[in-house]
Amino acid sequence: MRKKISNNELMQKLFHLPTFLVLTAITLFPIIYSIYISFFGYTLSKPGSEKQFVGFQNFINIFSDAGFWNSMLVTVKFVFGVTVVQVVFGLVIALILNSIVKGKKILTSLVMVPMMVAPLIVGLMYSFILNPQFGLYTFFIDYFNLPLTISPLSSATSALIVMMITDIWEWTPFMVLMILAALQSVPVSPYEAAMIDGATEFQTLRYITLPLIKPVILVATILRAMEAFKEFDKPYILTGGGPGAATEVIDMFTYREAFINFNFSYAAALSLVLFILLLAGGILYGRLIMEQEK
Amino acid sequence: MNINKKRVFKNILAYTFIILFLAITLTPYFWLIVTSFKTRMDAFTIPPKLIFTPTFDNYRTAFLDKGFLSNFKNSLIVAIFSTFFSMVVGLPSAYAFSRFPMKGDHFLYFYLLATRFTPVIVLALPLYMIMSKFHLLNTFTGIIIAHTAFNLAFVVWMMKGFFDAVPAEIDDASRVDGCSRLGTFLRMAIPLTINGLAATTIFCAINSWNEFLMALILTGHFTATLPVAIPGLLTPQGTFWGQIAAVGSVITIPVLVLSIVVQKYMIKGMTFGAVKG
Amino acid sequence: MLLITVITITGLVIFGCSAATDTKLYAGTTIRVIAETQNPTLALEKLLPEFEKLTGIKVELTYGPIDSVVQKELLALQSETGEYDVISSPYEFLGSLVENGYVQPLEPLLNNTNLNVIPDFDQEDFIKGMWSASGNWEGTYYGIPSNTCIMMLFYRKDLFENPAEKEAFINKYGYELEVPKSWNQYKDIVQFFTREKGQMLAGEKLDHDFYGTTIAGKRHIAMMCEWLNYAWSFGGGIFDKEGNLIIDSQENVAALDFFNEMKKYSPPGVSNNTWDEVTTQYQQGIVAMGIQWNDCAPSIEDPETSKVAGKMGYGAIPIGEAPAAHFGAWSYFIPKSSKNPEAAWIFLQWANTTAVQKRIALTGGFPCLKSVFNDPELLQKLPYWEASLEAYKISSCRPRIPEWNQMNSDMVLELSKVISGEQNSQKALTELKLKYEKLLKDKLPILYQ
Repeated sequence: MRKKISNNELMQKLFHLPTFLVLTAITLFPIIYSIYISFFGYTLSKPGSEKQFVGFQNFINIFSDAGFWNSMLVTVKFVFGVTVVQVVFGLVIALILNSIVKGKKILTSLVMVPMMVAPLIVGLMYSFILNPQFGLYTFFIDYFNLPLTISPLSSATSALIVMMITDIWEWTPFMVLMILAALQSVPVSPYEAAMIDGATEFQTLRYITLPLIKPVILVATILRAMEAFKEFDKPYILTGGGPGAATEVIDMFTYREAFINFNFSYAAALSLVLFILLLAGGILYGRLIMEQEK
Repeated sequence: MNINKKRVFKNILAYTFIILFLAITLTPYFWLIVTSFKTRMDAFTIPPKLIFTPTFDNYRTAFLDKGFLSNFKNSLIVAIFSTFFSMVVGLPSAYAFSRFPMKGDHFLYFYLLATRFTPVIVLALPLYMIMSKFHLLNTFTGIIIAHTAFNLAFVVWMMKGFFDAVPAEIDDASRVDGCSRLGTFLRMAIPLTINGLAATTIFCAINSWNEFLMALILTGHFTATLPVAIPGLLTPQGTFWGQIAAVGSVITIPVLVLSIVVQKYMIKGMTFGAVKG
Repeated sequence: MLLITVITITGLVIFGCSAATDTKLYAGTTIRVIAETQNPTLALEKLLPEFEKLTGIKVELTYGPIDSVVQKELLALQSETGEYDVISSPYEFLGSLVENGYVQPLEPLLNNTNLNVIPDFDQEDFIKGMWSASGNWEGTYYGIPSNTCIMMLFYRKDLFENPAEKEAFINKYGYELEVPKSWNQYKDIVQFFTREKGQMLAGEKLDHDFYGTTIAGKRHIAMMCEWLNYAWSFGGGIFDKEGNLIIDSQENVAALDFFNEMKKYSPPGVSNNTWDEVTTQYQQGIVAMGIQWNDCAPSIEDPETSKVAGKMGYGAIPIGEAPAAHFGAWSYFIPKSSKNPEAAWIFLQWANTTAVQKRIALTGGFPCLKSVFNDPELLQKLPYWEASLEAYKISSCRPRIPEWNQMNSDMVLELSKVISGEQNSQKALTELKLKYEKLLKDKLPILYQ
């Protein structure tokens, strides 16, 4: 008996071993290394600084860095804006798609297209369309005489809005897909009961459908919000964080400190702060999934 | 009579809405593809041309003259190898989560989740420094290792779900027949989840194919993947939009095609089985 | 091609068989070079097979946009991978490269007669000032010129010489339309030429909007480069003669206000412009005048991609309080971690021979060799050559201290805020001064730059 148990445990560990070995090497190690660097003052602007121990100074500096707070604000605005819109749009489109009988599969495939385009390409695509000289956008506002600015990437507010639109364009299909799946797996009986009771469409929607799919919407929202928090490719290629720092999401800000300003230690500290924030979100997500599985 | 009319009307409304929606959302992407077939003159004319003589020049220049073909090859190499390794490394773990529940499971789950939610930038800098010490920079090995790690959590989560769907009784039957755990895993569990395997493989490949930041940091001139090579088209001689469109199309179209294949498993893949797809 | 062959053969004949052995001293080595995607780099690329033939050394040339190249170089140097044998880096990184211990001093190589295998390479031919600016740090040479560039005035000569325009101008402003000598004149001209679709230009009706000028307004090094011309010309700058920070001076504020005002007369979307977009706008023929890098001129003079080939004129940037012409230079450096410094040095000699530099000059590069600089053929052939020479005499340099990279990053952020309307000039520059003070702290005043 004893032998079997220990065999069992050994087996389990062996099955898990490769995965966690790789993960430790590629994720844990770097994070530990990051923590190490963050206690020094390493930056290329100060030759010899890699040996300069500064303790928690980098972390303290983060909190007094206006650029950091600006980035956080931009990121929060971005995440909030896109998530809310994506949920709303996603819900509407999913409901409508769900009500269609014929051709649902093809239409769903088409709806999914934006999600499959690499974020970098999404950024470039919008860059092309928004070009003030020959872009499609310029042509449309000219042709239809719309009171919109010809160069939305030039002003802080409109640049951020454009950024959000690119993300909404890209990821609404994700929401649609999630909600559609939820809609397709709701039990039939409540609906039958509702019909017997003579409920209107709207009532059915409000009192039956929505509560039933609420868990999924919640999961999807958190997932999407976390992904949006990590946004990098699109701001990088579309605005480079500008104009000013209007679209400098936190990933972009950290990237800039690491790979443009070469403030390695400061960037390490920043990325750790970011990591902790996202970890908190991840715990929340994990908890939600655990509950779902029950 | 009335109810039928109402239903037909609603249906038409629904179709109209969706088609209108699709028309608006797909226009930018459609425009990208169309531009890839336009000459430089045509691409920049106002009003935008819908009817024009198509040309393969952009594709030819980008891929043959400018060497994007080798970037294409690089993207393929990285995607295929990292997917392969992700699967080989991750499958046993997925199986273990499914079949060998044990005390530390939650902790391991959480660890996996953490890796999935870590923003790339958090890892980019230290990975850069570590890989440079091991002389893995600008090599295929380096970026393949990175992509393998990033896809692991995904593989484990997704395949666990698929393994869960295979009843444990089948495992037991095979054990009774004298098959070892490893044997059961290899000969029973895997073949029975071939669909899930295919879907997961495709997802991994897509993730690697589209990935930008890690590739930007870890690859060099000769190992650059397609996304990384694109900024090279923004030059002092002007931005080669036609060629960007061509490369962009080549980056996205295989993904589109493959995603249709795995459409069924999309949701499972994107939420680690949190929602039944 | 012929020239190189003649020189090689002559060399072989004169020095006999031993010369043949010498040039092939490091045959079989491969060296890796990285540079920015520019006309000179592309021209150099085409000549590489000749180098290989001459010396047996294979060159793997990598290039990319400036940000990506700088990033790759610095990261490679920082990690000491020995990945590159030659890096071509903007000269403002000189201080950083030297003080971080990344690059080798050139004296040992320069003085090593065994390595003087490239006939026709002549140290004395370098224009000392340029070489110093781009490669000398605190008395030691670390870099050798890769290519240089200078900013100057670009304008549509055809429009300036058009009788209808000349008449309209003198009627409106009371003086002759000519290359502006002061900033007031510059503004008048820029205003004058900004027209809408439907209005007349040079006797013809415009079917698109036309703009007096264009500026590089993206949060990018290009904006810093362009704006500093205005700053210096207005009497401002970053440091004064004693090395104190004057970044928030009244002169700078005026210069920034002026720069920002030019937005009104530029094609929309300036905050997306780097020198590339600016070049494209010239090529499209929608801009009348502006301040631009001379190495963008060849693209504008190329009839295949430019509508205004042959129509451009080149001159000096207006003089405010002082003349200004932003000097840009790329230097070749040999990393300390390179495994083939000798072969790299041979390459650098070859790249700086008259023959090679002249060929590069014909396709858009700018040499540091006196022989090529003063070559009458180039003066005659290239419309922008003369103005370039004049501008080089001024050569205003940006700081080359290790902190400059961060300073540049801070500067383009603040400038970008002004351009997007988020911030006024005074506040932006004051903010910038605070950042600089924090960064430079005890090093001020900075005398050596």
